[in-house]
Amino acid sequence: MGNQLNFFSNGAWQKAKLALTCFGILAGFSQGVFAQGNRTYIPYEKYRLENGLEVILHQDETASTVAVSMWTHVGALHETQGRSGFAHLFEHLMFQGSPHVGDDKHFYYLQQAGAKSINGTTSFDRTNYFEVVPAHELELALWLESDRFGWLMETVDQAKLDEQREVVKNERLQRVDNQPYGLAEEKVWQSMFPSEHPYFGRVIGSLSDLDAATMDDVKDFFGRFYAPSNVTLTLAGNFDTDVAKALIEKYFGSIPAGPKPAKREVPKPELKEEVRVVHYETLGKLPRVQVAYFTPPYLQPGDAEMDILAHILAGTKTGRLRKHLMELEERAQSVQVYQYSMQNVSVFTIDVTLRAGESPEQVLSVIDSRLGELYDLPPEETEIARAVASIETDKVFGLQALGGYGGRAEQLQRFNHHTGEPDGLAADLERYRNVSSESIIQMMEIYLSPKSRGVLFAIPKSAEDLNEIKAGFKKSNAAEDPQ
Amino acid sequence: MKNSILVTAVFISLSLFSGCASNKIAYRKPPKEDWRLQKPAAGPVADAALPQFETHRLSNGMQVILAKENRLPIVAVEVYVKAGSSSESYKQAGLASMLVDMLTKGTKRYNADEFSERLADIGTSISTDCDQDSASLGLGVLAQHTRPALELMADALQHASFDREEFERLKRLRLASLKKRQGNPSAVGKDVFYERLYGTDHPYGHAVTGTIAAVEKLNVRDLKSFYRANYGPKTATVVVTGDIQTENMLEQLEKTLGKWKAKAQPRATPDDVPANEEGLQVYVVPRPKAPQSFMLIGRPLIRKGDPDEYKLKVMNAAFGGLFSSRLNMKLREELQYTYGARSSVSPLRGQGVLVAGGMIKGEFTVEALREALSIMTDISEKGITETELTFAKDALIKPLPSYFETVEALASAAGTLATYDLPMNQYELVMKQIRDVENQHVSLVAKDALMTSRYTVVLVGDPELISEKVKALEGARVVFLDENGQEL
Repeated sequence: MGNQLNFFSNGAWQKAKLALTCFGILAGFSQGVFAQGNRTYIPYEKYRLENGLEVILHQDETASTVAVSMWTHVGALHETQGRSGFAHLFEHLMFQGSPHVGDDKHFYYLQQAGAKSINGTTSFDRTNYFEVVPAHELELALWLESDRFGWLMETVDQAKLDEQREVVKNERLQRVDNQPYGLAEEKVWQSMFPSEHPYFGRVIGSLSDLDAATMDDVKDFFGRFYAPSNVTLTLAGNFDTDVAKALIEKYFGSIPAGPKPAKREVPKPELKEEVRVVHYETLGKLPRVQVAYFTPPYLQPGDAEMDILAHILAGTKTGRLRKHLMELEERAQSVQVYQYSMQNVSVFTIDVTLRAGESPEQVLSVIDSRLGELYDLPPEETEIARAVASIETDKVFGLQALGGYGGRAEQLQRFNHHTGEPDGLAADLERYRNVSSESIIQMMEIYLSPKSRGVLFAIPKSAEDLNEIKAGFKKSNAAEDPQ
Repeated sequence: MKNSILVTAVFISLSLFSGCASNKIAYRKPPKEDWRLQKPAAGPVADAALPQFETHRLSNGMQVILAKENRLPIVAVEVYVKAGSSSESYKQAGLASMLVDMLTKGTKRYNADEFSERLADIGTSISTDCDQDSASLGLGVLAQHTRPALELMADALQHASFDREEFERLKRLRLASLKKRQGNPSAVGKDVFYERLYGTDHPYGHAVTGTIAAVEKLNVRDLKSFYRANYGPKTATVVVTGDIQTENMLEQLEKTLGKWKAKAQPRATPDDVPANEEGLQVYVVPRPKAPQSFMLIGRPLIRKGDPDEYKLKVMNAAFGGLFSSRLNMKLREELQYTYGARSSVSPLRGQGVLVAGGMIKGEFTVEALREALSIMTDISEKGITETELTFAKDALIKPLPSYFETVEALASAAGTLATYDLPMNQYELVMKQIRDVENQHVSLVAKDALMTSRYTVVLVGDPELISEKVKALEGARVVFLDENGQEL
C-alpha cells in the first residue's frame, strides 16, 4: 500500500479542493449524470446503518466500474503528544490482513479481480481507503473492506506492528530525510506549530514517536476511531441500489456499534512575531525561501480568497510574483504559491527555489514588496476572472473519474466530511463567485502580516562545509545546531 | 534550530491514548462469523468496452486521432511529434525538450505574455512534455472554448516566434533546473544509468532534460534547424478527445493545421545495443551521509512491437511490476529494506529497458541488491508458478478498459498509438496477446531477460555504507564514480 501522505505537493487533494464551476457551464448538457436540476452536480443518496456506519451512494449506469471509498474521520488532528504519526502507522496496519481474508491478500485479491487505484492515505484531518473495481466485483470489495473495518484487531500482532513501523520509517526517509529540502520544510513547519498541536508532526510523525507506539495504542485507536459511527462508506459507479444496500447490510451490519468520538477542538495556532529558520541543506543544490502564514480553515471565509490570490501571484506565466522573480529579475528557478487548506487552520505558502548564488534576504524583500504592491494596485477584474476560469476548468475535469485518488467518490466524501452535504460543489462555487478585489485585500490585511509568519531560508552546503560550520558553532558555544 | 516562536493559545491535551492501562481500551470484540471465510464469487461479467479511436488525415497528410466522450462538456487537445530526445545528439542534449517549451513562448501573432494570457482567458494553459521518442503539447478546456484552444495550439505548432530574448531566458532557467536536478538522487542515478547502458553516442544515451555543458552552447539557430528537421505534418499527430463531433472537428483541424507544409520526415529507429557480455556492472555514485540509496538494476531489452513484448510484461508483473510481486513483497514486507520496490519493461521505438529498483535504507543497500538479483536468477532458471502466471495476466488484462476514464487518459493513449505507429485497435490486440501468454513462453523469455550477468546496476548513496560490501559481490565489476558521473 503505497501510503501516500496527503500533504504539500501531493497534488490530488489540493487540486480537487481548488474547485469551482459557474452554473452556466453545465447547463444544456442533459445526458450526463451530474448536470440536471438547479444545484445537483453529483446525485447521491445518504443513510446510516443501525450501527452508525454512514453510507453515500452515487449511481452512474454509464460506468463499468464501481469506486469504493472508506473515510475514517480521523487524521493527525486526533493524535496526542508522543504519538505523532500514529494515524498513518495505523493506516498501514489496515493492509496487513484480517482474519477471514488472510495476510497479504488485500492487494492480491483486488488486482486479481482487475481493480485499479488501490491505496490508502492519511492526511491531517482524515484517513481514506479506496479501490476501483469492475462492477461485477463489488461484493469482493465490500468483503475485504468490512473484514478489516470490523475484524482487524483479531489478527494484528506485535510482529505486524513492528514490521509496518519499519516500513513507515523507510517511507519517512524517502519523503523527508532523503528528499531535497525535506528536513528544511519540516523544520519551518514545526517552528510555526507548537509541539502540542496535532499538525506539528506533519502526518508522518517522528521516529521516536513511531517507536513508542504499542499494541495497546493500536487496539484503543481502532476502538475509538474506527467505530462504524466514525466511518463513511461511499460507492460511486454502476450498481443496483437495492442490491448494493443489501450487500452493505450483509457485510457491515454486524460490526459492533460504538460511540462517535467527540469532535476534536484544538485552539488555532497563532504567531506573535515572525519565526525565521535557517537550514543548511546538504541535498538540495539551490537555495530556497519559503514564507508561510496561518490562514482560515478549509471552506471558511477567506479560504477562497487565498486560493484566488495564489493564482494571481503565481498561477500563470504573468502571475505577479512569478513574472517578477522568474523573468524580470531572474532570481528564481521556480515560484509556487498555494493555500494548503485544513480543518483546524490552513497554511498559505509561498515557495521559491532560487538560482544559484541568489540571496534569500533579497528574494524575501521582493516577495514583501510584491505583496505590499497589492494594496496599492489591487487585483484586477481580469486577474480574478482568469483565476476563476482556471479553477473552473479543473473542477469540471475533476468530475470525470469515479474514484481513486480523486474523482466523484472522493469529492462526495470530502464535502460530507467538512460540511455534512456530500454534493457540495454548488456551495463551493458560490464562495469563489463571491471573491472580489476588496475581499482579497481585506483577507490579506488580516492574515498575511509580515509580523506573524514562518520564513525558511534553506542554504545549500556540502557535508564538509557543514562539519566546519558545526565546529565553528562549538567553538563559539552557540546554542544552535545548524543540522 | 531553536526558534523564537511564541504561542499564546493554551493547548488542551486530550487523553486519547491511555498508555498501557488495558482497562481503558475502547475495543469491542466483533461477533464470530465463519461465513466470512468464504471469498465471495464475482457477479455476472458485463462487457467493458474499450474506447474507439478514429484516425483521419488532413489534406497535407497530417494524422488526426479522435476519441469521443460526451458525458461532460470538456475537450482535450494534444499534439505528439516524433521529435524526442533521441532526435538530438549528446552534444546538443536538451535541444528537443527546450524546443517544445519554446513553442509556447510567443508566436508571430502574440508575444509570450499575450500568448499565455489568451490561454488563461479560456481557463487553461499549454503543458509540454518530452521523452525519448516524442515531444508533446497538451491542453484541456471546457467545450465552449474548443475553437480558440485549437487556434492557439495550431499557432504554437506552426508560427512560434523563436524570440531571442525568450530563448536566452529559457536557457538560463533550464541551466538552473539542471543544477537543481543534481540534488535528486534518482535523477542522478538515471542519468548515469542511461549513459553507461547505451553509451553517449547512442540516441538513448543521455537524459531528456540535457546536460549543463550541452545546454550552455545551444542557440536560437540550433532550435530553428531542429524544428525544421523534425516538425511537420509527417511527424506530428493531433489528438482531440472529449465532447466533439467528427465532421465538425475535422473541418476545424483542416482550417487550423491543414495548410502546414513543413517537410520534416521521421528519423530512423535507433539501433540496438548489446547487453553486457562481461558480467554484472555496478556503478557507485557517492552521496555522503545519505540515509537511503537509490538502486537501479537494468538492461536494454526490446523494441515496441517485439513478439515477446507481452510475454515479458507478464513475466515482469510476477517479478516486480505490482505491489504483490516478488520484489516488493521481499524487500518491503519481508525485509523492510524499503518503502517500495518495483520493476518495469518499457519498450521504445528502439530498444527500451527492463529496470528494477527503489529507495533502499542505506545500511542494507547491497543486501537489497543481492536479494533482487537472487529473485531474478530464480525466475530466470525456474520460471514462474502457474498461480503467478494467472495472477499476472488477470492483473494486467482486467483493469485495462477502466484506464480510459478521462479525456486526458484517452489523449495520452492516442499519443502512444501515434508515436509507435500502432493500429487503432491496439488495446484489443494487447488484451488478446496477454491472454495468449503461457507459462512456457515466460520461462523461455525469462532465461535471457533476467540473466543477472547481463545487467548494469547504479547505486547512489553513502559510500561508507556501500563500498566494502559491494566489492564482495561475486562476478561483478564495480566502478566508483564521482558526483558528476566521472570514474574515480
